[in-house]
Amino acid sequence: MTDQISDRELADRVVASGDEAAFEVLYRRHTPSVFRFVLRLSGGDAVEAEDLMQETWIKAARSLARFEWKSAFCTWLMGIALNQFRQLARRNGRLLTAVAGEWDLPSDAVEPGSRIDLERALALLPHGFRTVLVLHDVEGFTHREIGEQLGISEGTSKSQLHEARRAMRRLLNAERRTA
Amino acid sequence: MSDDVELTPEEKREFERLPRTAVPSEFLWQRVVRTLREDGILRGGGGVAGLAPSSPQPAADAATGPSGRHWGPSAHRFRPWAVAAVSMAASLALFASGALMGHWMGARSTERAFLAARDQDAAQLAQRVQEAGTAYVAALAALSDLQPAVGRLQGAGAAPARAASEIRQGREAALAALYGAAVELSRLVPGDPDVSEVIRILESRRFEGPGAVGTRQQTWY
Repeated sequence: MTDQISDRELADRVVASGDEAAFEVLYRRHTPSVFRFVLRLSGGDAVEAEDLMQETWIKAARSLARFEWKSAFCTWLMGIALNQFRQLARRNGRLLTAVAGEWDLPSDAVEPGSRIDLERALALLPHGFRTVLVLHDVEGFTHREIGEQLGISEGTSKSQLHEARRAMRRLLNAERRTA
Repeated sequence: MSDDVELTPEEKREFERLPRTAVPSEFLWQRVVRTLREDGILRGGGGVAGLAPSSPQPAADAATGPSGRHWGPSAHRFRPWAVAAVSMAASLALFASGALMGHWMGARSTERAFLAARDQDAAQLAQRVQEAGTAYVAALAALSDLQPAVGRLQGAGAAPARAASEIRQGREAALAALYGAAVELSRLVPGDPDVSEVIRILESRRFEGPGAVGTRQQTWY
């Protein structure tokens, strides 16, 4: 039944009357995909991802009346989530637009004799590499969109993706180095 | 894997196979809705025609959600039911002491308490168990003391009815906490027949009527 009600109609009910049931449908419809997005950006830190998700929904609810529906509701939410992620990174001094110095494999990244999967590799990458890989290769953002979202040029986005993919391949192909 | 910057077909397939959804804890919903109620954006109740009161979270990818193996040590020992049980027990203690239920200890602080517990040594944890157990029993005793007076006032207005409802919630919280503790105890002393029996009894109540363990979704905050 609730699947037949559009996001816009639900949002209108929330704006018009503070309808909590309508908000809950929106929340449960879109949280799983946006939460996976922020969880991945956070390198699998569930506590941080929930904090980001909370701020995302609060921000979205407060801005709902101004949303112009020029994009899908979920896309709008992801944009808010990404913005929250950027603000958190800024507060914590994390670099999202570059990786400082030469990056090397973490010594304990891979158990001896085993390989890691892509999800784990993404989580182990530096924030800057992980962010551009998640946005481009997982979520399908263009370099232009990434540039706009992160405040960098398209060229920077491309070069960062290049380095990020190399780092990801090193992780995926790595076996633990013995001391 | 290729050294070229473009993704290989194999890599593309790996990216496509990544899970697209994950389910956060139910506490996230409670935190969000509480904040929005305080803001006046949500006005509670709901019940607009055509809307189910609470649709379940999608099951997809739940197994690889925040508690899954990919998600690092901070999430590994999270047990949502355990968080719920301890959170409810904390709320119960506050209720019995007359404080506003749950205002002091929300879901977030409970989560943090769980994470903080990981860094304590055995002596600290044993002491914590003792203190929490004492608080739990004391709160239940106080709740039991309230029950007769509330029962006598039944039918005398909204306040006694609300108190009776809150006592029922307290009982459910106590059972949930008891169940959570028993499950953890069974990990601590595997094969203990008494603990197993407690778990069996509590699990048998899960699908029974009012008062059954874990049969209600409550918002305590």
